[in-house]
Amino acid sequence: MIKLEHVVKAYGEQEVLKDISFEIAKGELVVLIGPSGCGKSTLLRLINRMIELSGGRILIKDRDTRTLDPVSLRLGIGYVIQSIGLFSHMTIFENVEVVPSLLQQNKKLRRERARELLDMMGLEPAQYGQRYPKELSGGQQQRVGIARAIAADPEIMLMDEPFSAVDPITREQLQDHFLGLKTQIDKTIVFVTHDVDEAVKLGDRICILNQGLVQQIDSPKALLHKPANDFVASFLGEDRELKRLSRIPVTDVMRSGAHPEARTIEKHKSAKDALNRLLAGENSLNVIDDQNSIIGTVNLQDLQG
Amino acid sequence: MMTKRFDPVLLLGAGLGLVASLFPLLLFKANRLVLGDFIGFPDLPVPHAYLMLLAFLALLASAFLPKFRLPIASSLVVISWLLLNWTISLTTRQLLADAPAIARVSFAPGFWLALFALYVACFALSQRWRWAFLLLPVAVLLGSWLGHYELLGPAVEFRSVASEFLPQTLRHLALSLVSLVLAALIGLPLGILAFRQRQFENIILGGAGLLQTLPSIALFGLLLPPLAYLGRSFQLSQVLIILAILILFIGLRWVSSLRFLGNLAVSGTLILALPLFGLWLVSLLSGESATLKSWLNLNSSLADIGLRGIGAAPVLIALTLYALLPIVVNTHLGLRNIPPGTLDAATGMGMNARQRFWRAEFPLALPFMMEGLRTALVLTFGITTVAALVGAGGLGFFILRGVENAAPDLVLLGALPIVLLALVLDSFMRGLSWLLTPKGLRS
Ligand SMILES: Nc1ncnc2c1ncn2[C@@H]1O[C@H](COP(=O)(O)OP(=O)(O)OP(=O)(O)O)[C@@H](O)[C@H]1O
Ligand SMILES: [Mg+2]
Repeated sequence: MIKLEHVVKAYGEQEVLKDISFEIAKGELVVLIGPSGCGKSTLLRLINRMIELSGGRILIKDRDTRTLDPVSLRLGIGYVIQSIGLFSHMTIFENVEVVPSLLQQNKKLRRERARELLDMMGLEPAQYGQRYPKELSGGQQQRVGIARAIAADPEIMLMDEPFSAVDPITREQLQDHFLGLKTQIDKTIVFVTHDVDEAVKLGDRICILNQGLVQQIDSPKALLHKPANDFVASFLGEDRELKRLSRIPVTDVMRSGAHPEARTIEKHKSAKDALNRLLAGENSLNVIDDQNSIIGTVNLQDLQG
Repeated sequence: MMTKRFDPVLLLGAGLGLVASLFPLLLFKANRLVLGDFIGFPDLPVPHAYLMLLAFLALLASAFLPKFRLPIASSLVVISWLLLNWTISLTTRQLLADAPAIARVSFAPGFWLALFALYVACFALSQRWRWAFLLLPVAVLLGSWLGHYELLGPAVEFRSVASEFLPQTLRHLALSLVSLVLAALIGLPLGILAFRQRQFENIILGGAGLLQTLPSIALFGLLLPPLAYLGRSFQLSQVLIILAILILFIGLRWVSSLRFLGNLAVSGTLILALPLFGLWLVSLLSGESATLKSWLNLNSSLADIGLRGIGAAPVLIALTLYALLPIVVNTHLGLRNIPPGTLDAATGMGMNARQRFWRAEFPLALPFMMEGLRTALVLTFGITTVAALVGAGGLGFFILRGVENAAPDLVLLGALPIVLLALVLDSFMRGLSWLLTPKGLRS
């Protein structure tokens, strides 16, 4: 879907991106992560031509973006910008309807769609639709920003730290919400964050950037299990095994059978949750399904695999 | 609501009122040449003057009232004003009873001080009751009916120039409004240009600031010879031909290699057309039928349609130049003030340059632009007063004549409407600006 070939971006003497190549498949969510100032936003903005390449090329559906008209390119790409950037003179409805109105879609249909999206983002349309951005909290504004980016149903979404301006609890809610959403909408997403937990939680693959180069790009599990170099290892942190376990469902590590005296853990919990309970003193845990029947058991040895 | 033990501002107002009533209220002049006699307390008619003094004393006392202060003080404000006017009216009639026709009675400092005192009192009351500011106009209206102002100097002067008053007022409005329109047509695009093109930013903002420092009278003097020359030497037909040619050349903008020439033609057209449009609008608004007729005759010289060394032309030029600064600066500031993220979002959502301007930049900067237009209007309305110096008329005409004839009443006749109209225009522009401000931006 999106293919980057030897992408270079320089501001004057400073080469922010030196040689970036990777490919993003249709329907995939790739997280860009790296220290502040490593060029994550820059890479995102190169894709929708908010800024121009200094070298290399970017292909979208096999077409070089430089041959495309930038305005229509951007109309087809949902963009959630780092600073939210809602239009303060427009109501929430009007903000969400910006792209559909640029595409001159039917007024009734686009209002209908805006309601749907606000609802999907957990904002009651009747309550918030006619408000103005200043009357919303930071987290609510971020959700409107996401709704605005999805409104015209683009195939590709670029999301620049969409959950940054909120407290950890709201952030987790938004992430869970987004994961639920992701299964409903089939989109190719490039997602920027500098929060490793967020990357591990959301990404199909994670791309770690530093010093203008891709340090490693891989699935969260592979990345956490085998960091390619010292930078990646230290960036992911000493607790990367724990992070890895958080992405693994407990059903993936359990053995068949049941332990007679063990307590139970629900099957949708992660391996990290199980570890937590085991470290707290349990010898084994029986995994149960929705009908409360035991489907397997897990102990500390199982988690070391 | 707790009533404060005493209200110092109300006290100040009432105290000023007391002091004011002891000052001379009126000035009597048997003719224009004598210095005149101030008429103060001992000469005032007996029961009324003392009642007035009592009313101010009562107002003073009411500042200490623990209860019902607001209704009592409000009534006392109106009552003292009415008594003051009653006193004035009786005195005026006595003074003029056996005086010659050229004798004049006019307001003396005591009257103005009393007016100010009541303004202060109203201000004090408006802190607790927001409609209190209406007391003053109500009192003044009632008072003017009671005070027989028609016998007083400014009214007498008004009658002697009555036929000129409305035309000059219209003229004043026309000159300042037309220069505002011209300045907006030039200033808004310049402000936008200063925002978009960094290399022009300093030149434009600095230039507009520099214009403001030119003394208006010097500007009139400098403009006189060239304007007089232009007016005499060119005919309307010639100018229209040049204009037509320039307009044809605008087409070159769409030929990519000749774009620059096309843009030059646009500027030329504007430079030529805007002043003509301004002159035409001024004659239309101030109802100069002779000048308007000259527009229909291609053989008229430019002087016939108003482009002369004196008159409307230099005034329009000067006022337009002065009005540029607030308009340019505020437009630029308004655009500057838009959060960069908002503009980024506009581009990122897929707006082209025109959509970005009309859907984001313009509405977001509009409150600032309106603020610039408001400042510019109040500014030009004030400066238009000097238009009379070069024979362009306006309310300054009465002021100038009053100064020449040592007739302060006549000066007042020019000055009062300027102040009042400026206030009216100011509130009008504020209202308009509020209406035009998008709801989400109103505070
Ligand atoms: N317009 C610009 N001109 C010059 N340098 C720029 C410009 N925009 C970005 N840079 C530089 O490029 C580098 C990468 O910036 P970028 O915004 O992509 O970082 P980022 O990875 O998104 O950082 P953050 O996590 O803080 O958002 C930074 O060093 C920045 O200073
Ligand atoms: Mg960034």
